[in-house]
Amino acid sequence: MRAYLRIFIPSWRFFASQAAIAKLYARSVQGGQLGSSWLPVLTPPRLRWYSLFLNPEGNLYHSYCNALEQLLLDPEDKDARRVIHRLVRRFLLHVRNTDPSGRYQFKVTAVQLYEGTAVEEDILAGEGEL
Amino acid sequence: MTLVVILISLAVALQSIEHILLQRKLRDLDPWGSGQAGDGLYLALQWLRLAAALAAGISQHWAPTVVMAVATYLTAVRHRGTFNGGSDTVTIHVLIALGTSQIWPQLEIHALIYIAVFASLSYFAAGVAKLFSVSWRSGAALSQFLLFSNAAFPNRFTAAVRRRPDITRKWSWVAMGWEILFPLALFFPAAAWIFLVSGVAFHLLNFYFFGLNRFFWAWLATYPAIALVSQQKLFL
Repeated sequence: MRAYLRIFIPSWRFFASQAAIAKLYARSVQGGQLGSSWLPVLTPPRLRWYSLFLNPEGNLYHSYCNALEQLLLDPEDKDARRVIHRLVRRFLLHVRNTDPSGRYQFKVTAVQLYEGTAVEEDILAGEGEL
Repeated sequence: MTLVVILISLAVALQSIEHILLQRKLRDLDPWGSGQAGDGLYLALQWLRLAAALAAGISQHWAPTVVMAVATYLTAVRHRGTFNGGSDTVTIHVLIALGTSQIWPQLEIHALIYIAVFASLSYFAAGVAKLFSVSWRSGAALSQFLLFSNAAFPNRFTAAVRRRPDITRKWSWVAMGWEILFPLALFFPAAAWIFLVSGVAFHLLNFYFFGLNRFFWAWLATYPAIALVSQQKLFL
């Protein structure tokens, strides 16, 4: 039901909450061996002056970040979890050119500031076949 | 009202072109995994939305506005409610108000008031929400968003924030004050011009630091309504 009504309901708390910031990391596993260390999946694309008019990659990036933050708020959210699984697969297969015969693992961490120092904590993890 | 139609049509056209450019990449965000058939329908929806935006920009008929509203709604549903948060919400509310006033012209002034109040309250509510946050009042929240948040796009000023965290406290209070005082624009024409010009700068900064280009165009479409409501003293 939320998907059908959410666009009509204003939520003007832009950047108001100081909830933890979610980060997503992925790695591949080939034949039981780790294919890589944990790699950050989400990096913002470069902004250019004309991005003010058209910023498709930037908005896609924001949409993934929203799904990640939704997963941090509600780890049982199936839609958000599905989006993150697809994102991790795409990242390893198409950005990191990983061998598709293996598996992937991901973890979501939460970053919070304590007296000016960023503290990162593992929150949830998942895996699947590439 | 004509200027609102042109600006919201421009916002919708740019949104549609972005979706057309992304095409298959958006499949990852489709919660139903509807595959190639879903991709084709979605692409057709974006072309229809773009055509409606172009038609609305050159005619004052209600039909293109209604098509834009329905297509914007369906686009949001495909993305679990919204693709781009607040900008989608402003876009749909402006389109509904516009469509209503085009179908029933006697409601035009009500539609303009609705758009103006809706936009002003969006700033006001955002400012009040920040004011109630300890971390916003201390400036820590802005530092955190600029330095660590996924939403931030790195730029040369990020390094300055890292060196001098005290500057974010001042800017937090400027942003909160500006947002909370924005509704004054509805009552005083002189204040309206100050708030609207600074509003353009505010959204440009949001674009520069957070890449929020859609917010710039969606809110810009509401500014003619705010100017008109203020100039005609509809609240006084």
